[in-house]
Amino acid sequence: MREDIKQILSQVEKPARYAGGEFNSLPVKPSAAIKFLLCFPDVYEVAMSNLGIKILYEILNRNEDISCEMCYAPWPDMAKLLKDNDISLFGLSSQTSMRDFDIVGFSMQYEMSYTNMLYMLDLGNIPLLRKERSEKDPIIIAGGPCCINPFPLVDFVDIFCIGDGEYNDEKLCMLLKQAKTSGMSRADFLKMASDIEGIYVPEIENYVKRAVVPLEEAVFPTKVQIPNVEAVHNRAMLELFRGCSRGCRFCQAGMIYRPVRNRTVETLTKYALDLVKNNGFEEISLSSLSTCDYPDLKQLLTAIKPELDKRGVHISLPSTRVDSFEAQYAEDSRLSSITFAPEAGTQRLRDVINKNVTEEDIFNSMKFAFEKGYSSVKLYFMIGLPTETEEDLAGIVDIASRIKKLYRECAVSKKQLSITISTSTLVPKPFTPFQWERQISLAEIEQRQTYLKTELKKIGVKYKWHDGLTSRLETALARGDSKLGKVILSAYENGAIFDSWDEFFDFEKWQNAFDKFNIVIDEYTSEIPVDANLPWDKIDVGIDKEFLKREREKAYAKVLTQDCRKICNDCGIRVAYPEIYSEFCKKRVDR
Amino acid sequence: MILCKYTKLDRAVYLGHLDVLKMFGMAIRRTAIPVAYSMGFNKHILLYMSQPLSLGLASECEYFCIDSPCDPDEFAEKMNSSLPEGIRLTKAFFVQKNPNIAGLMCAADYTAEFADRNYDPDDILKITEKPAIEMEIVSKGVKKIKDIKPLIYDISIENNFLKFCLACGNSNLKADRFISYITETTGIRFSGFITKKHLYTAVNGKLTDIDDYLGK
Repeated sequence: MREDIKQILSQVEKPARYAGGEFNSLPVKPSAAIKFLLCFPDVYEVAMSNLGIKILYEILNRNEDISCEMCYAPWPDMAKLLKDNDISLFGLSSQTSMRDFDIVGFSMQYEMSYTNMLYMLDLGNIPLLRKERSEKDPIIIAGGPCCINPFPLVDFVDIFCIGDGEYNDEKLCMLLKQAKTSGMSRADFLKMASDIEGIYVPEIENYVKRAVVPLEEAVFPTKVQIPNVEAVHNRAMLELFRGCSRGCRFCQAGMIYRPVRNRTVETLTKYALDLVKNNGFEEISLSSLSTCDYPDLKQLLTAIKPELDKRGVHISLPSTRVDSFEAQYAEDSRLSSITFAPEAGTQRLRDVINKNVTEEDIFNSMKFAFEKGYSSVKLYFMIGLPTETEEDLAGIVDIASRIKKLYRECAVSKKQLSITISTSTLVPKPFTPFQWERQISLAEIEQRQTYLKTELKKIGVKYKWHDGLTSRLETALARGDSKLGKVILSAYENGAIFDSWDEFFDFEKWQNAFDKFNIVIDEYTSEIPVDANLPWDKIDVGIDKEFLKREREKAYAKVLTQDCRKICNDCGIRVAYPEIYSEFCKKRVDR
Repeated sequence: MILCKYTKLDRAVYLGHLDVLKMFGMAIRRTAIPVAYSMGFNKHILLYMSQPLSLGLASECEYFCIDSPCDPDEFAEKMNSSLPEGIRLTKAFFVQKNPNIAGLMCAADYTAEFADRNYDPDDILKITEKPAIEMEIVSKGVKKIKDIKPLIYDISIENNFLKFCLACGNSNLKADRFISYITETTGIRFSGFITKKHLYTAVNGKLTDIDDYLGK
């Protein structure tokens, strides 16, 4: 260990966040051609719960030419110590300074982590603006769902990985190895990188088509770094499939991860058992966008349950269909709480957003759960959905009071029922049928939240809500263009870091940044004309804009779109990715 | 029950007491060694750890006790293939019941490495010759002056290391505080980790290594 790092670790809170040496860490290869620093712009405990970076860590380190280590956003006490002692942010395994890596990659999972990317680069003594970087600086790359619209970040990032990251990070490393051997300039390397499918290089402004991998063949990590400090989600993660066939109109993930790609039961069974043996978690989470839609879930659960029981490992399944057969497998002996996401308070509005859930579904599930002994319910709704009226808000309150009534009628538990309702505000995201929608104003957000606060209090239901200012900023950044780079930089210079943390988020720092450049947030949150050019039109995700328009019209007409497993809705994927579509989607249609 | 002696060195010195407990729990689950679990609502492994070690201190003499039908040597071998850097079981043996190390211990040996060779050994030895060694201690927000001389059992210098034996247990002097005191009063600096080397109990007024006391 470096002596200077030892000195500061003795002064910092939770030093284990920065100590490295996690069990299952892969060995550093000092003579590898490419040194890759994989960064997650949030604190250790949050980062350690992310599956994406664990997949990349595994893939990159399997390659003999690449040595990949991790780096997370240091808590401000550590950042201060780093600065005061003139120590650059470092890779956790070898304690090599960030600037001595060849590639520094960021996983961008949420808009509110944008300033933390700058914070980490700054602590790594790397020029924040790509135009200011020289030949000797690392190549800064970024991927993850936020990069589907990379434009707000184009001032800072040299290369974006658009879509699935399984292949492209490695391809970039191999290309850089070649470039280094042949003495290629940074500019020439970037030019060559832009030829890879799924790679967007701001300097080149190339055409880019989203990378989509056949999931069954892709690497999946079954030995994962065990955090030194307990992570937010301390459990094994098994990704059953990627994509979602439901087509909820507000959901970006449901669009940009198309088509649905399943792993086979055989593969998943092996992964699940390996995950349990190699890591020692007490819980395994079967995670996907809509896990219960996995066609062979019953078979998978039957295959893994005995070994998991033997080892005392719980299965965690999203409880969207608790009356189903599968629910019995996931039954928690503690009967903690059941979670449901109706998203909207009336059937009319649920039809608008294409959330194929009926009141009957909700109440059947609740009844089933209450008869099992559950006494705690969590419900998630959105406010600010297109066409929302007071009636829809009243519908949320109505659902809550009817659940209370149902509990009185059929509960077996003697405990008092606890209902928690959480609302978020619609953030209209790129590549969704709602991408043109306006976000409701701050005044409207607060007015609707106040209504729910008052009405839910009357019936004794707990209410949680997302801060409206955060939602507005999320919309601006999600739908942003390259003009926002200077705003993000200015917000960072004003001191904005850890924006996703309530205790740090200070909207004023952002407001001042917008004001400085005479940009109004409303410009990004108001309705966009349907024929306008969108910043993200330059990114080809394989979804037809015409499909999105059709979906939007159907939303206003309250017409449902069927699940893609039943019929093909011609979203464009079949044409854009014929091989992957026919292999994973169509077969299921024919069945 | 199996009593295990383990090290906490290198990067593992930064793991907090509860993190170590969780780490052992996960290691046991990975090895699938049968162990006793609590019968309560939230089942957990029954693992009894000795006194928490100050964060940032290294040790070669930490202990935990666990209820398992496994052969102690096999237990140690399996565990050692499943532990992170710096944590190693160095001994494992059967005990009739948990010997309650925290109650037995009364002193511990430590070493600390000098940061450089620019020091006068007499500066340190002079401290111990004083009739009383007054150190300021902040306890629960209140500053107190405490004579720590009775808590220092031995001090010597060997191969650029300061070796010292301090009271630990009911009357206790923290090794990191003691080292800070030396640095503050003499300006002598140390590098690396302070390492706890041996843990003692008193037998007929004589310091006896816990391992010898337990007959191992």
